[in-house]
Amino acid sequence: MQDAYTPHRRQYQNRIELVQGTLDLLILQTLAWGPQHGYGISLALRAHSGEVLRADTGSLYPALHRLERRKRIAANWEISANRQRIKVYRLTAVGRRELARERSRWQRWLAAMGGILERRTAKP
Amino acid sequence: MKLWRRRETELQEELRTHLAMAAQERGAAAAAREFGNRDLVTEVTRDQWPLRWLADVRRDLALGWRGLRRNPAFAWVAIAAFALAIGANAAIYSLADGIYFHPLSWAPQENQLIELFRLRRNEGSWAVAPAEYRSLEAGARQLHGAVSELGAYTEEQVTTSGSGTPQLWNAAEVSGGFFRTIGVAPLLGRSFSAAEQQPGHHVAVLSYGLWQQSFAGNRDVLGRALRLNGQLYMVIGVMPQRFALPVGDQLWLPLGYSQQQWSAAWSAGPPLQVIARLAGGTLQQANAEFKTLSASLPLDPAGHGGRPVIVARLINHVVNGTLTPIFMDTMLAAMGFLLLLACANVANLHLARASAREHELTVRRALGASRARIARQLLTEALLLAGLGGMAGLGVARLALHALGHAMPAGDGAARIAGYQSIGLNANVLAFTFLICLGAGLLAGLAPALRASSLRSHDNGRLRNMLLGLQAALALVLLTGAVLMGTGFVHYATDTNRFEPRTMLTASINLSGAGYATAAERADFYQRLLRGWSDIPGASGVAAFSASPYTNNGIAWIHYTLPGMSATPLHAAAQSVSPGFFPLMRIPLVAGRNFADSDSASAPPVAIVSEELARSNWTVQTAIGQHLQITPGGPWLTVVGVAADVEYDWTDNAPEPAIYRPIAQAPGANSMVGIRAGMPVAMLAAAVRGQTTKLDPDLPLTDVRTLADAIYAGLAPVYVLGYLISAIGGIALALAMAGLFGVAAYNASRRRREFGVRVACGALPSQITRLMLRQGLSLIAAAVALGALGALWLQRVAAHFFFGVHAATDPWALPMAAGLLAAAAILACYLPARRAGRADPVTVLRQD
Repeated sequence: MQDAYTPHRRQYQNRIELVQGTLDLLILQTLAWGPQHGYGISLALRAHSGEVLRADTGSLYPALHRLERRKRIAANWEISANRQRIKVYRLTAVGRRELARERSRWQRWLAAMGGILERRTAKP
Repeated sequence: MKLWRRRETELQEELRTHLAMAAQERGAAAAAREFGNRDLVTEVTRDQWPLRWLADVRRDLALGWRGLRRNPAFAWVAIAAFALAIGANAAIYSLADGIYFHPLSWAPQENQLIELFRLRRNEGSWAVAPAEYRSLEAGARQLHGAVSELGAYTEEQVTTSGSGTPQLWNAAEVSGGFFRTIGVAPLLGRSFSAAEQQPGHHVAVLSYGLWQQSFAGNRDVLGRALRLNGQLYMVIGVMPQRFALPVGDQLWLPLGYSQQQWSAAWSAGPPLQVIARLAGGTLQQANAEFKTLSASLPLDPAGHGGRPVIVARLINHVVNGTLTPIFMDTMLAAMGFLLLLACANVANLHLARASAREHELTVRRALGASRARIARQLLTEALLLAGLGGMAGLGVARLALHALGHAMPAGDGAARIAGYQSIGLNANVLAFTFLICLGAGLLAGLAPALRASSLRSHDNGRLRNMLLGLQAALALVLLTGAVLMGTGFVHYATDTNRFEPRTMLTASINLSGAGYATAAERADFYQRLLRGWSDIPGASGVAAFSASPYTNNGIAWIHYTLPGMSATPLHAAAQSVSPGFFPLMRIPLVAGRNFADSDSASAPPVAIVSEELARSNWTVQTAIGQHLQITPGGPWLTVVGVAADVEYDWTDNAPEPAIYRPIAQAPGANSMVGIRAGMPVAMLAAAVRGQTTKLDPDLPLTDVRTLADAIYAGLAPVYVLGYLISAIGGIALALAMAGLFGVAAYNASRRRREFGVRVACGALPSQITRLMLRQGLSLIAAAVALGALGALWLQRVAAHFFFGVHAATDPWALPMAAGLLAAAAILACYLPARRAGRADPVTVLRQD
């Protein structure tokens, strides 16, 4: 049932203006800098994109749990500074390889996009 | 299940800390706004978990369970409907599985067991002569090995004597390969060694039943002595409980043929039944191999043989011939109908409930539940009901089988049905029950699920009316079947009553033992026996005869020819009777004379024929003085009388042509003796035993019982089937009634306001009641018209194989069934209709 979204859910998810499939890559990249909890990841995404990208909880948590199920990331419970139990995610070896692969793919995609877009804007 | 709960709490905790941290940094309101709908986040995240659907099913089941708990009346009715239908199905399937599908389930790889037989030119005999078996055995080894083992047996009846009253047991004399072929080892002791297959070895293997009965299950039975046909035998083994081949036999002895006996051609020795086990190859391969092999078989002097040996699965042979066609044609169809009826019933209940739940379902849709989700929920509920019904149904099936076990006479009738011992709720039955639960659940849940998921949620009741009509039509067909069976019973009961069977005692004797080798000796003994029995005080009639009416397989069939007729011989049932037979059995002679004592062995051979035979060859009047011949080249019999028709083989639904001969002129080894006397049957039984022992102390008198009991033993399968069909008809009627009642009550509650208005405007309560009744009954009338077509077809088909059913003579079955259904329908509609009419308009209109 994981792909069967009702209109409600779809509407909710479309609010994030993220290119489809990029959220996983962003999460993996964020975790490459060090283990982090869910809220921390959302903060990092926002901060490092200059407040442009925003992953709301309705997509972030499904993505985290999906990546966990696929063993790209692992999680364990830790005690935070203010003595709260928090779930901290970290990158696994599989996740690291996936990140490298996805990153180069993304860069090739960017280059290709760029090539086309540059050309069209250069003409007139 | 614990894992799910932990995942759930962890997710809640994760989201809670997220919210808490966000609230700390930017305030509770902003954090909550950014976070969004927490339940929705939970829901979409949950979707990512592995085996998510399992948890969904569990949640649906829990939800469905709660729904059922809230609405117990609905739940009970639905579960009861399923339990009855699935229970009846499971019971019938276990019968079919035991006797029809797996009658040899106790043997390893029962499908590999085959039987070899050879068609003869003249006789319908299938058995193989000893010399032929020898060649087959040797040839099978040299061939390509389609068959791994070969065994032979021949059946006989042996007399035990020595202690107590002599008894007659069914025994099989078996060759060395017999037990190896079947592949079942004895429970105790051993089977026969190769040395014991030589002549003169008196050893025996007992069946479990005989061991229990005669040795009280004592483990030191091995080595004990047994007196069979006057000779001492040593018990060397006991077979396991369910082992039954040949079916119904109690004892196995070594064949022990001498070289001379082994070389016997067809006419000399008793024919052998040959079994074998396929060695991996197919039946076709084995058939091809034996076809080649049979070309090299020796021809016997009588000119028989010359036809190929044919191979068939042993299962097909042992399946009880009487029950089989009915099982396949009737019971399986009836149980399918019943299941369909129950599904329609539950689907209808479900639909009515779904309409009542429209409010709940609309709210759930509004809260974001998808259509698929709601459909799935309704389907799960139906499956849950079917599952619960199935579990209860297994209990019903157990009870039904138990009751059936009591209905079946314990004696020969049941023992002669292959696989009867194995009937029970085995793994096959459980698997079948599971499948029909699944099917029934899906079928019953489909309509409500589709309805709930469609956009048009408004219910106009058409689907429900159609389902109800289907129920009534199916119920009518099943009821007609039950009534047909019932009239069949009545037909039999009235027909058997003309023999006055309750006051007549019968017994069987078997003269195959020592001292009765010649016909003259046997004829003399029968004469002395009848004279001895006549001396019993109060005896009003005594007779000897070959078979009692309604004996089915007990009647012997013979060929006969008429003068100047060279073509195929005609068939008739054969009876050897003493002169007292016709008056004793209350069979009137419609023409000619009865036998007399003067029709002795030295007198001219005579015969009495049945009306059926007389009419098919001559007329009743011209039959007297005609001639017929039974053995080719034998004497010509003169017809001296014509007797009224008697039903011997009841499976063909018509009285048989029969030829009666004086027992003095044709004394068989097996005979029955009947007596009527003015004393209680139990005393009479003791008296006839005493008289018989006086004549020959070693002669067993078996099956001492009233003619009524003897007839019942033969008719038992019919009775069992009758009980089943009647039970199914009853269940069908109850289900249809419950369905109709439910729909009528629902309609009444839905139109309560309308009726309130009508009453307020001056309609009489009786008019409302009539309106409701008319609506219900017009539906039933349409369904009856539809069901009548099916029932008429059933009646036509049934006349071919339902015993005692004659389409032409049972014109009342369908009207009776329809009347029964209509009465039930009126009852089911009347109560809700009356309530609708009596409703107080003020209260009704004030509601809502």
